[in-house]
Amino acid sequence: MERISALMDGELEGGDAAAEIKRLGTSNDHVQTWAMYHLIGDALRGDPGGGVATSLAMRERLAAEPTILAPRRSPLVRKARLYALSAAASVAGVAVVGWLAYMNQPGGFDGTGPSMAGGGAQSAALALDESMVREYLLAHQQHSPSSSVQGVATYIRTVGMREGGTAR
Amino acid sequence: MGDREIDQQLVERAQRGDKRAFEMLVVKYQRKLGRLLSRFIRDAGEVEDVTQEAFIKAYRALPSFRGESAFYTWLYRIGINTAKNYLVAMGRRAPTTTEFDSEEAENFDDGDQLRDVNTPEAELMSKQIATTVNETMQALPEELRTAITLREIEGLSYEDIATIMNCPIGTVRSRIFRARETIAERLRPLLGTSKDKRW
Repeated sequence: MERISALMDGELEGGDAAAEIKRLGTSNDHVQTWAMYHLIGDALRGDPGGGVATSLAMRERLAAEPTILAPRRSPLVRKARLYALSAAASVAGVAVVGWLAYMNQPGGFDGTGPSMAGGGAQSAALALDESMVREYLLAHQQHSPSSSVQGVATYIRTVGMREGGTAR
Repeated sequence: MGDREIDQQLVERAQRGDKRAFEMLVVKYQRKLGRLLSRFIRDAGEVEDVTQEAFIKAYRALPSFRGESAFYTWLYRIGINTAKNYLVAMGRRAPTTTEFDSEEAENFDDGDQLRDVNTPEAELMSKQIATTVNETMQALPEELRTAITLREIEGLSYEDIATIMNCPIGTVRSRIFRARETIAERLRPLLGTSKDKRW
């Protein structure tokens, strides 16, 4: 009976509690003790007695009810559902990252990049753009943090070649 | 194992055909639910009927209980709906949803502001039970009285009680049990029960 007392106080550990609950179901005496201890608790908190009549009437009404036999939810099914959700979340994550990477590529889905099968005029425009970019990068190289000669980059003069042979 | 886990285990046993497990839930929550419903239904006998009806509905609906909420929260909603249907059927005003705040379910505490739901006979029985419990408490050895008071009235855990009483947790567990058993021994004749008689 001491275990019933501890169980109703929530002071039995998982395995012990489960075993005690199972044991309670095997005996009316144990259920009666459970009811008595709850009655005492209610009485100490200033609410005595009210449930005795309900207990008796409920016992009769419950006895007249057909026994419930609900299909048991398998822990395996629950686990499988959990794994499926995790897998779906991972796939969705990979898809989003892939989509973003694809969108940022030149020639991505936004249609702003050059096409591999583009015509001659488009290629010429691209070549012009590249030469401007190269020029810009050369002019600003000293501000680049990627220089391996940190701290002296600003004192290094950058020399580039232009078409026509003049140094700059 | 906490209260919610214990309830869940009892529900699962009841779902597998163990009616005693459901009886244990009835015993545990009948007074709490009855006193809640008494806020909306005045007559003590009617409260008793609606409380029983709510438990029967809960029992029949057990296969649909998935444990996503606490058992008492679920039972509370069934109780509310049963009370509403009852009041409508009786041509009385059913309470609004704001009057029945489901968040109260978990935190509801029996207090003085609630009416007594007992019928005259039950009222007499309640008084006798209260007197017996109080007298037995006064006669208990100090350490048993303190342990059960800290547990039942203050709601402290065994660990906290052990700290306060400066003793091992096992001693607290034993003291609370002995206090309950001493009071139960005094109550059994009053309730017309003995260890080999049912009630």
